[in-house]
Amino acid sequence: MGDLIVVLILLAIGYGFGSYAERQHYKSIREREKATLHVPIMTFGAKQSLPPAKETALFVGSVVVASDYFKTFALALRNLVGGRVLSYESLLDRGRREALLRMKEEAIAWGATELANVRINTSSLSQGGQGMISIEVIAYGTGIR
Amino acid sequence: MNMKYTPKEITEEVNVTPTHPLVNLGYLAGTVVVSLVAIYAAMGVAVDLVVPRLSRSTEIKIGDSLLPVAQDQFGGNVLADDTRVDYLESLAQPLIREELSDLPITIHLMDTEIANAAIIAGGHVFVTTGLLEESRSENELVFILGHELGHLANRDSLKSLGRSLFLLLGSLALGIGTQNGQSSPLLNTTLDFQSLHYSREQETQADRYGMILTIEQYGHGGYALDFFERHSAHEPSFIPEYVLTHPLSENRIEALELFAAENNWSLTGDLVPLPEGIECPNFDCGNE
Ligand SMILES: [Zn+2]
Repeated sequence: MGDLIVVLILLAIGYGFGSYAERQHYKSIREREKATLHVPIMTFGAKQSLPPAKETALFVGSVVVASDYFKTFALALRNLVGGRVLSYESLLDRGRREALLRMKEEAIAWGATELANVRINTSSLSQGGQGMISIEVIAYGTGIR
Repeated sequence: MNMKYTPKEITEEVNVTPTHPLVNLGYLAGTVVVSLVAIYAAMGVAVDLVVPRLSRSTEIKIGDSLLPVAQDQFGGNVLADDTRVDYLESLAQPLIREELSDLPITIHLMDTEIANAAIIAGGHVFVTTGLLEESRSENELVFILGHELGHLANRDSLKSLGRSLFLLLGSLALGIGTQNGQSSPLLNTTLDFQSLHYSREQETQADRYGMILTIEQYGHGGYALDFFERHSAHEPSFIPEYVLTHPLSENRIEALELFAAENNWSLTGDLVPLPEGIECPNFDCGNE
């Protein structure tokens, strides 16, 4: 019974702080996406020639996002029955968009007019494959000005 | 080729399912809990179906893995070299009928004051030195051994494991459980003599089995029930453990008397005395 209470408290903390952090993060992501909308990002440029440019440079944006107890608990339950892990979809979505934004914001500060050959990689930082999971998302691309 | 770039704001969250996390967790927890409850209920029903179908070798493996735990729970040392074990085995040997002929019966004499006898799966019969001290005749011992053999023949010990049986079968299949005679915590929780209860029906069947064996042995049931009669009525201050784990009320004595009457078995006959020194190690009480 005591264990159950501890789990419920952890779930409440995880859900409370986790969803608050997520709302704040999405708010920030949307504002910054709007502000950087004028600079296009493209996936081509690896095997095609780059658009005409005076200068190019590599830009990297990376972010580590932690899961919370609520999300991990939902994942553990989901592991029993299989299927889509809804609680992790938003976590990865935030990671990808934040990494892209960081890359983009740095490129814009440098004076980029567009970013070509943009790639995204994800890796998970976990404790021996068990327990709470943090994910790292790294986005990189070639800035052009 | 030139294309014009038109900035477009992200307005749809295609990568995030718009289900509320709490609703999602609710469904998920609901599914898991309902499945677990269903499996738990199914296992309870399955025990009675599975137990009669287990092979002797599986039963023996289960018994061997439970043996160290059972000895711990009984308390007291195992008196393996005591000659009284040979005596008990010679008492039990003629009682083994055809249905138990493929099961090796092992008697474990436990050195403890508490009068008790019990079995676990795989042919392990426990008898305490307390029981030997309390006994007044061989007839009593034969009935008690017969009763325990009845539990073995009906596989009551396996049935009493309940759902833990599946845990045990699983751990046997995976080769976990006992290592070097050390019992694991898993097995310790699986077997609990303190809360061991056979159903009234199981006790009745074991009683009848014991009675039949006693009649086969002596031709009568005289003195066989004396152990219980002494403890059920005359000594209310002392309740031996055996009566607790195998509650033998007045009703059960009456039921046995009725059972004997139905079969025209006599409940009177000669008393077969116990060997001299049954209460002492190796029958040797020394000269005090
Ligand atoms: Zn019994």
